[in-house]
Amino acid sequence: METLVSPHKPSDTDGKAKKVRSGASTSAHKALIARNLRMVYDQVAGEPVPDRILELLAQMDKKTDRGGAQ
Amino acid sequence: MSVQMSFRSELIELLPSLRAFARSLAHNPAQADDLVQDTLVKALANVDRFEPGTNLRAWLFTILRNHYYSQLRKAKREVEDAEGRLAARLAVRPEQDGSVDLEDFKVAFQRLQPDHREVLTLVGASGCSYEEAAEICGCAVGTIKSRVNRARRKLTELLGLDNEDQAVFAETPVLQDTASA
Repeated sequence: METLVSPHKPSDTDGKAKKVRSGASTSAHKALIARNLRMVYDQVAGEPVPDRILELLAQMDKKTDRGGAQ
Repeated sequence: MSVQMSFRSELIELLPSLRAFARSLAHNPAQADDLVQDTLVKALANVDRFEPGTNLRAWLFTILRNHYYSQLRKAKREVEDAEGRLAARLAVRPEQDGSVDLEDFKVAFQRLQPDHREVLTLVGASGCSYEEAAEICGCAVGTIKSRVNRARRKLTELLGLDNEDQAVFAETPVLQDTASA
């Protein structure tokens, strides 16, 4: 029964298996970091822009209009 | 007038990514939006220095990070705080399946030094090329690449992901500076 569950389980005591795992975990860490970085970034980028920022832009437009040629 | 109109609409389109970049530098959302506001004021005051058709995102990101670093220099205490927190070992537990909770990730990320947060966000999340990131940070492309590697290694450490490897590979250096993608 045990062999049916995990027939190709790598041996933890095998030196070669260890090396492979080291490289694999490094790239797994890279992938994990990349995924989380994007998640955090997209989370903020997906938020609506706060009113105070849009209001600031509107205020600055008014100033520009007064000073400009319109 | 149409140049200014297109500048403005492009500016508005870039606000979400500008906010996301600011959030990676600032320690809290309010400070991040203050940074965005200051950036907008500076950008609009210097709009005639921007060459239409060039990279507006890089220009805005540059203004934002320069402003952030000049504020940081003024508030030296904040730097010392950040260093203190960096020195303290993280309490984040490594997950056995190699995944981490997003909140744990954010905590670990904030413990990175600012230039590491900056470079990881630019290259790893905002979609900037190494060249753009170098332009924004005012340094060489090679510097960006090695900084990304160092930042990633540090973050791996802060996330506690190196612990399990260290237990198994006690005699070998963990996370060497390899360029393998």
